[in-house]
Amino acid sequence: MDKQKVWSTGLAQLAIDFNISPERVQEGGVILTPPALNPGRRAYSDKMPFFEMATVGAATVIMADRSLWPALQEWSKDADEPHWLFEFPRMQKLTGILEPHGYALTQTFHHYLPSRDFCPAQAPEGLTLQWLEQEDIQRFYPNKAWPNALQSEENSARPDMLALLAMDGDRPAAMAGVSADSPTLWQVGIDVLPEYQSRGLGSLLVEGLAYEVERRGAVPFYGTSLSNLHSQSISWKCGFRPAWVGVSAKKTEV
Amino acid sequence: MNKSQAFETAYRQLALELGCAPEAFTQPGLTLTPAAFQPGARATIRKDSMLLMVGTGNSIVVSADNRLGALVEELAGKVNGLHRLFEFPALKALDARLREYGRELWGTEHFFLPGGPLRKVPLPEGFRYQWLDEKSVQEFYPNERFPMALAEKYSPDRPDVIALAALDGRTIAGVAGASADTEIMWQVGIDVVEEYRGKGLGSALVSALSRKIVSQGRLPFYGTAAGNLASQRIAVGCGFVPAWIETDA
Repeated sequence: MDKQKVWSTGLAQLAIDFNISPERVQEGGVILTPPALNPGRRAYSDKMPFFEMATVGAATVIMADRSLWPALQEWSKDADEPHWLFEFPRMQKLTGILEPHGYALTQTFHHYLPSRDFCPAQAPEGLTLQWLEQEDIQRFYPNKAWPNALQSEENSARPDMLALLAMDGDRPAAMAGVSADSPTLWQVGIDVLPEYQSRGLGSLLVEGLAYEVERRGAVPFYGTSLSNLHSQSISWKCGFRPAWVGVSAKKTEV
Repeated sequence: MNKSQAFETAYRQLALELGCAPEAFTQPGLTLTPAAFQPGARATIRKDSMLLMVGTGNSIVVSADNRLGALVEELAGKVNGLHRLFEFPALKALDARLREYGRELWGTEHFFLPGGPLRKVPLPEGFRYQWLDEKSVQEFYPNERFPMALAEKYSPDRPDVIALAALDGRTIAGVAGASADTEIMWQVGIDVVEEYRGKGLGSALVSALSRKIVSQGRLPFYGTAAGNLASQRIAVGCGFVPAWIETDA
């Protein structure tokens, strides 16, 4: 798949999710938008968002309830680089704006998009590979063994579409899975069982799965936390590159 | 330079600074040590830190004042994956406690090391390239225009020791520079003037400078901010890989 097209698809998705035009994001700067649940958005929740923020580096988009705007304008005005808003001391100040409304910041999520062509999967020595289609995945629910590759139960809003399982004889060793977070952008996740780690199995499965996702016409993306260096390394190794970083706010328990 | 040499050198340095064994950075788990500044630490390490935390994934080492140890252990027990001690909710809990003692947590810094032989990225045509040494780099001081590549002024404890500038006629389009944060670990920084971005100049300068540092028998490393995606892409494009995260108070 043409990589220019991949990145414009990613940017278009971000724009839908954040209720803004892709062109405006490309102009750069810090941009406030009103919350919306646009059609085609990545379906993580049905609730109207209160605060969501994402940076592509040269632009930071903040989709927030209008009651927050004056405080957010004041908070963001002296950030010379839009991505500075994601630095800890600034995020710490941001909690001062959200807390009176009963919201707390989540961790940051880092989204990676493909920057090169993927290669089809080949089974490593001693292991076999199995493809699991949407209907084959059902037997893994309720799922706890593969927290990154699959969801815990069936989720019709963003179904687990496909998975690639590595087997050591009749024992599972690792699994990469992909969920259709939106019609065009599918999220890849990977779990490698402890005794099979550090031998390149994670990147092998992610690469093979990403290849198949592109073949089926969707854009694979990889989400991880920046603190998870192992997961990040897999992503880099497979040719994914950081596209945006996001953070949101959730209602604090009372 | 291969990957394991690079990582072993860095882990030895971090182990000295945090007062632990180098294995603490490769074996999963939390290591708590008393806060104590160590001679030989990188020049960027603050002498009076109440907390210094370094993570390589699920290996976390915290050198902290003994009033903070219990909180660190409590947070480590709560997070889903030790690496999440570096995520905002855990950092915020640490920061709140630090504020009781008049301290604040600084931002997180994300460091990269060579993942093997560094990649040769060709220098774009149309520029003149000029190498600078510890002496000639001083012509830039006082420096405000290239804050990532060079220091503001001469800093004897972490001198700018080598730099590579790209010139468009008489205009400087970008500079990659390195400071000797220790005798052997040289930190690489890059600034490309806005109108020259998007042409691959940043990657080319970082690649040429880092390879020169390796050829001089030193270890180049690269630090960046969590949200600075362009900088992270440059690092990895040159053959660096994510190595550790650090924060202090």
